[in-house]
Amino acid sequence: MMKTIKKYFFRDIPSAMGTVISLGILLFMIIGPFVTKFDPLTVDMGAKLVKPGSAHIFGTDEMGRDIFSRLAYGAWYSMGTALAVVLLAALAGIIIGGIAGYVGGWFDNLVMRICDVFLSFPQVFLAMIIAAAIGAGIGPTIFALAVSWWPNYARMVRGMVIVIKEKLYVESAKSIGMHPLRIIFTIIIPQTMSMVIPQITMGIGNALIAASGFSFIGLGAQMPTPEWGAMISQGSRFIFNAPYYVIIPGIFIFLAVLGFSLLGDSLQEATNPELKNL
Amino acid sequence: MAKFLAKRALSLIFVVIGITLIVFIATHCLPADPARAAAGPSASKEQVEEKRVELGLDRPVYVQYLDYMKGLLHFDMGKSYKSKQPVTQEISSRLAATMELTVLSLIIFFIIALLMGSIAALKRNRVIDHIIRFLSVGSMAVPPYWLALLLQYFLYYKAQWFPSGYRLPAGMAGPDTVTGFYLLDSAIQGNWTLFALSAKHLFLPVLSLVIGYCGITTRMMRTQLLQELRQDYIRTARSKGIQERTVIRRHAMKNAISPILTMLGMQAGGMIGGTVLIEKIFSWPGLGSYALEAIMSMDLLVIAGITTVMAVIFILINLIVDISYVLIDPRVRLS
Amino acid sequence: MKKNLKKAAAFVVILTMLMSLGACGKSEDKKEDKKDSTNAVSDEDKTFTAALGVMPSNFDPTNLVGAGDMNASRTCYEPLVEEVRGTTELEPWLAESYEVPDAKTYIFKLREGVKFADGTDLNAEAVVYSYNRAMAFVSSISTLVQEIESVEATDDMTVTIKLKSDNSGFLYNVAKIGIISPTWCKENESDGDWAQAYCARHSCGTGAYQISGYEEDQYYTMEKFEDYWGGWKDNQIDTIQTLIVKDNATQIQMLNSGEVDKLQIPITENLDILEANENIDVLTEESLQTNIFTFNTKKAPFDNLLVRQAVTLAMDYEGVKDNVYNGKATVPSGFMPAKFAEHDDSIPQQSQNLEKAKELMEQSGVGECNISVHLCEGSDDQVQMAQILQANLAEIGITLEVKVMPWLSMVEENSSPDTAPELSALNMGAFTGDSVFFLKQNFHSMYSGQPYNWSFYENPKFDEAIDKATATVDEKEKQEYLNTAQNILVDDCAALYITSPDSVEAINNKYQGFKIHPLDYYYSIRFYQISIGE
Repeated sequence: MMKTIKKYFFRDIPSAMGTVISLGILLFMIIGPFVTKFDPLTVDMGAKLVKPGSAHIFGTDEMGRDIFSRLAYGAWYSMGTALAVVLLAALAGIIIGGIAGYVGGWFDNLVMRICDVFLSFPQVFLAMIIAAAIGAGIGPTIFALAVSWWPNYARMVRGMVIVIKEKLYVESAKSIGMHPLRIIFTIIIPQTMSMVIPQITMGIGNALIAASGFSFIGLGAQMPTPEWGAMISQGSRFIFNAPYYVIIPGIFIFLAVLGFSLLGDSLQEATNPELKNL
Repeated sequence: MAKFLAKRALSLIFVVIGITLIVFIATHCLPADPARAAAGPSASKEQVEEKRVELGLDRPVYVQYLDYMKGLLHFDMGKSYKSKQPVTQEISSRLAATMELTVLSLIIFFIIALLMGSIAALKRNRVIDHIIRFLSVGSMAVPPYWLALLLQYFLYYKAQWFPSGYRLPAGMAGPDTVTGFYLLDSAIQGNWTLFALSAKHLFLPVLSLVIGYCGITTRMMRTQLLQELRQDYIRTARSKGIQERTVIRRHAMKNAISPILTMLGMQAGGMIGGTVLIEKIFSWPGLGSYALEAIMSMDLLVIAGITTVMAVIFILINLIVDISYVLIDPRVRLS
Repeated sequence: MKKNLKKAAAFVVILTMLMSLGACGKSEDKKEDKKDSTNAVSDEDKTFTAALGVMPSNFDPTNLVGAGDMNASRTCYEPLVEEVRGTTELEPWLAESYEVPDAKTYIFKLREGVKFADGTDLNAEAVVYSYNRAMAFVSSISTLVQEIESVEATDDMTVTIKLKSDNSGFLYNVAKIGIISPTWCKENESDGDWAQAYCARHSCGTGAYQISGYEEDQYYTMEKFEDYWGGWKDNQIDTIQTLIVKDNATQIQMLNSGEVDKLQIPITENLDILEANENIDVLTEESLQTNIFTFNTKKAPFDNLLVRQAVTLAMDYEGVKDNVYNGKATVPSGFMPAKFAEHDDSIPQQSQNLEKAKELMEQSGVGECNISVHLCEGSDDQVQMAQILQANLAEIGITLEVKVMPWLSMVEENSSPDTAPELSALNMGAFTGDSVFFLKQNFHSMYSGQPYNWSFYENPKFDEAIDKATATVDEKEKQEYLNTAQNILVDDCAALYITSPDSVEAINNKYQGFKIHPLDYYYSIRFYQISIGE
């Protein structure tokens, strides 16, 4: 048990850092809201843009709301959005890529061309249009990002399925008359997970940056939702007299992305030992 | 080669049809009414209807779509509702600004990534390798727009070293247009003052993009080069007594670069989109912020035009990447 | 490796060339424009630099799409009668004098010796052309000319406008119609478009400054028109340069460091930085704006007057004034802003009374309920107002849900009471100086479900008072009808009148003579009035 944990999570210094930072962010999410005595939404006009100090550890925003408390509650929005994007995109990618790779032929070709269309579509523009269609917000952000990301997973899974389906155990499953869908999802897809899971972990970081970027230009979470990107966006209006308001939420995004990227690396190295020697 | 190009051209057409279709369907499903947007906020219902007819929005969507595609064949993308100017003109005047930013950043971070990646690979597990690896992971984790804000705060507001944004100082006219890239145009015309100024204005936005994007490429370069160095042919070459430097240059580097180029092509697409945020922060007169305005004001043909142009550029970049494989390594067959 | 480098270089060059293909579409005349603007940047103070958030989509006097479009168009083109800066009063402008024999007929006698920028003279034909142009296609000023029956040149320098129905406020509309050179327009027309495409990026009016150059999304320049009929003095501005700066904080910082002389955004934050700067004058004026939340009067619970009254009494108006606007606002008394001369000063200011509000809620029998308010994207003040209201309503048992939406979606959903939310935020600024129209547009039943009667308010008594005020030319009578209308709106609580924010503007104090103008959403500046130094 200890050995497995070490193998996956504490391989070397970067891996340990990734694990510790990721855990730290999760802890902050869970414990933060209990530690703070401030509500993330309650306006206190008497305490506008208070600098970080003893009363408010990370200071307050332009409406006197405690930034620490907003970060702690906001973690649920930010991390939740990122996780939802990656899981949705991966799910769609696995199903579509899995079937396309297994079936092959014209269907595979069509799916790959559709992937091309989505991949050549600058995702920000897609998100802009979707946000204009159903209104800006967290839901539309998740939808827009998932829609533009699934082809990445579909391509990866398809590539692996094509290799795996030639394997002997797949052939034998076919010969005993197993339903193709069952072959795909019970035999082949589990084989791809060792590659997919590290990708998902790393993807969380990218999704976090992308989603917070949407909030930054006003397409994602809207004020007063304490999403991290929206906080930076709001803070950027006061950057010249309250730089901490921009800097602190950014550090949290940075740490979260760093943590999950390192963790993803570590998982990848653990599941694919041939990468280890590089 | 000809066959390859034909095939690519075909897929280009497919993608353009696909993208315009998505854009058309999406924009026509919007809850907001483009005719209302064009007629002005206080227009009466009758005036909105009149506008709808004027803009041809009363016709069925498929008719509008076919009409648009017909125009596209002659590079006619219609007119903006708002400014009454041809969409091609509206886009072209802003495309150069976005492209200057993107291309310059691509070139710079490609060079940096190549150098840093190679150094890290060749000095594997030494201190310098650890530093580079750490920096590249860090670079991947920095939100580019946040970095841009910080750079603006420290280097413009605090230090006053760089301007807050734009392509040139307030109201100064750019060099005569040859490529639309101020840096290139002013160099061609030998106007070095303008060259220096435009370089100074490019510095912060380019730096934000370079830092934000070079991490992942550096990492990939390192991995690829290490993989190549372990290949049999390298060992053979070494055993033959060929100089280590020659081995690396002739063989390993060459093979390691190909996948990097592929990734660069993909990144270019992401970057064109990613500049939206950077453009906004640095008041860069590019396509990204214009797209945002067009969507907010429901300027349908502009939205369709921008997405089409972006996608075509993205595909062309990837085509160039593919062709450049052949240039770098003639053994690669185009399939 | 060397070989590779060459190839890499070739790759880069191909890439560059490809990208620059897009840049080939630039037109010739724009290059000429550019050269003009570089020559004139020599004398620094004679160039006034302003900052604007978005590039105007149009310089056309008719096609005003965004509010920022007015900035250039109102400078290049002049109307027959003009608003006195800082007020809603009118003065003769391109018309030397005018007569209003009845509320349907308007006769303008034109000023002699006025020239358009192309050298042609202003005459009745030019005015007729400009009005016909404004009526020819749907644009944001269509509503101002829709009631015109005919525009005729009675003689070479006299124009008679006849209306379909009585409107004593029509002169306020006249102040918004810029006169354009017909010769120039006809020369630059394509496919019978009334030169709309050309006008979007060029100008030819009688104004003191005319467009001389622009670079999309970067700047546009207006140069002084030498033959301007008002004549020129030495200490006036030669060139007005408007920079497009997208980021608000950067705009403030640029004003602070002297890179720009004036901003074109309402300043609500970072004011302390500017006030501390001795080179900058921060000016504050009462505005012609009332920020309201419209009650959906066709839907529960706001179909009940008692609930509307309760909400009106629950709102913390002073809190909004102090906290959202740093005290730079007025607590409104009724819907009409107090700066309008026609405002009924006997109406008391709105005030909070939670006890009374609770009582009214009990009387209404509605009990606890959930309602939602929709706000417009990008309006931070609305978010803050909504949050304050949220806290206030919680005390009287109403849960308020806040939702931010794109402006156009709000317009769409408010076209019917069924799709409209219980509350919608509207920051209503006066576009013309016509106070009757200001009330009419928001609460007359003919605008129900159209911009901007989002309350779906229908009251025959109010309609009657407004219709009579529109028709009469007698000032005293008009005032009486207006008082009636204003009081009805207060008694009926047709909307929640929250605040009248002051307009706050800042300008570099090496320039004198600038006045905050309450109309055109503060985008029209009379640069001709500004002088350098004393």
